[in-house]
Amino acid sequence: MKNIIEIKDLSFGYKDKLIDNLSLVIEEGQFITLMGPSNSGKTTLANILYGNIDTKSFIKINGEFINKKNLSNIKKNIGYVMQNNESIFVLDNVRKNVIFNLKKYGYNDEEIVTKIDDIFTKLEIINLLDRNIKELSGGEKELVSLAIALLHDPKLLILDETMIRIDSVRREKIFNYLRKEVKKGLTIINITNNSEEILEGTHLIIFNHSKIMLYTSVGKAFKEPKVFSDNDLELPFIVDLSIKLKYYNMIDKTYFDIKKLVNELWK
Amino acid sequence: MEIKISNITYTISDNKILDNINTTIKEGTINGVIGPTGSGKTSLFQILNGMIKPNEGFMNAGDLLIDDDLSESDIDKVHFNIGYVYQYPEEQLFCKTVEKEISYGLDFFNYKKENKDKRIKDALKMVGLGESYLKKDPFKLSSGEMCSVALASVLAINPEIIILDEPTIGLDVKSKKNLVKIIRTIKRRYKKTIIIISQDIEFIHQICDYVYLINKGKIIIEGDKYTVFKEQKLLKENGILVPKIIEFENFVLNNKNIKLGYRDDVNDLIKDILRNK
Repeated sequence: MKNIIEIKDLSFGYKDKLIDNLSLVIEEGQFITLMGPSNSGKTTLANILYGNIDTKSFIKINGEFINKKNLSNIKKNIGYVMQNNESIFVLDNVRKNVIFNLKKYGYNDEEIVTKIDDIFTKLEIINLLDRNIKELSGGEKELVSLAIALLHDPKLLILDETMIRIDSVRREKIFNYLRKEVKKGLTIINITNNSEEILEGTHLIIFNHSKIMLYTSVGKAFKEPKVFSDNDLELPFIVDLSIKLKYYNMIDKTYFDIKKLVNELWK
Repeated sequence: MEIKISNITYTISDNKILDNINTTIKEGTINGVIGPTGSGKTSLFQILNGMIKPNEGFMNAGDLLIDDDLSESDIDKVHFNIGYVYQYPEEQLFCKTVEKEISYGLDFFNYKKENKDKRIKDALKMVGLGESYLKKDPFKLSSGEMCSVALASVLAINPEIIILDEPTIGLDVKSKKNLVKIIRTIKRRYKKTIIIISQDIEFIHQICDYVYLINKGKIIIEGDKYTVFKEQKLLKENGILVPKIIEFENFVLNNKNIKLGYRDDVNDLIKDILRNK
């Protein structure tokens, strides 16, 4: 497997170190949930990976060092849905903004039409294409931002609290779509405060005190549940319930699925 | 303060955002407003706050009448009684320090200096921020802290009705627990009417007394939270998945014919499971 992200000895921060001596290697094709308390440096890390903050440290994206010269090349490999996405809406309607963003990557008019049609259909938001930006709700802006981040076929997708503004049925559909893309090689870093989202991905990183406290596959993530409480995080409901029922000897393993747990409890 | 919503319709360029909404929101209750992305939730409560005007219908909040004919002086009264904490705190905040930010609203309503300083400190304390924040630049705070400042600047004015639009965005577990505490306190101690618009269904479940499901500009179902969350299928058809604990309880009821009683907490749920084994 190829490494999509390589970081060596990264330190960054003004007074307090937001990121301290961080080394991290991520293989492509992982769907990583990135969690940690406020001010732990999650968004800063996302901004560093996207080249928005120059740290002069050893950071490679898809085998290429991030530096001033190849910044546009780096950004071509990354789709980034920022927590505050107002800045990407520079023109008055959705279609114009989408085209504006795609032209940066050098696509021709025909390719642009096909790409827009493809992603907007997959995300089921064709109806938003000719809307005025002022008429979009918070959630709709998030959906359009996600579409824009996916349009240029990035190898790495970074989501910073993207799903929280989107309704849960749609969220589930989007996760299903993203998982399919991950199987084809897309790498995702999903920054969230919602523990339930851990179960949508393949891996979990817990970030706190400017350090990585845990980086493991979702299957192994709950072996030491103490790491969650130590870092002020909650467990997903079904995992929390399983662990407590195990304590009462009512089941003997951790379940990720309500149906399976219920069928085990009332056999 | 009770809110009565009568025949509210709101249209943007031939698009019906709200379609003849009628309901009553009781004084001193916490109300969750849920619904799919773009269903009209925010618009409905922007009308209540006088930010946008309805095409048809009106709202009453105490003695206030809010309709398409709202005058400038009426809008001031509305803002004095109805506080709105924005979905994007960046849109609400604009001052150079937290102190100026919170005092802006108070200055507008002509509070005296001593009274003002006390209100600013009290409001900060309520949202769990110390006086050390007074001189800080709101735009250099974390998103969770920015939300707290936005909430503090609304609380300082002491409105009867408080609308929170997606208040949990950017909040970690600790700050979310803190927000739950703040909201419960302002309800209990000051009998405020609180409206929370959110996609964070676990949060809505945790804190609300009543829930309103809105889709395509109409209220699909409303009632106490358990009455609404029992309707898992109806909610799903309207874009919303129920909280995980409710999904579990509904699944047990539908597949094992065991009624666990709707619980807010995993530990209570476990007691129910032990009893029914």
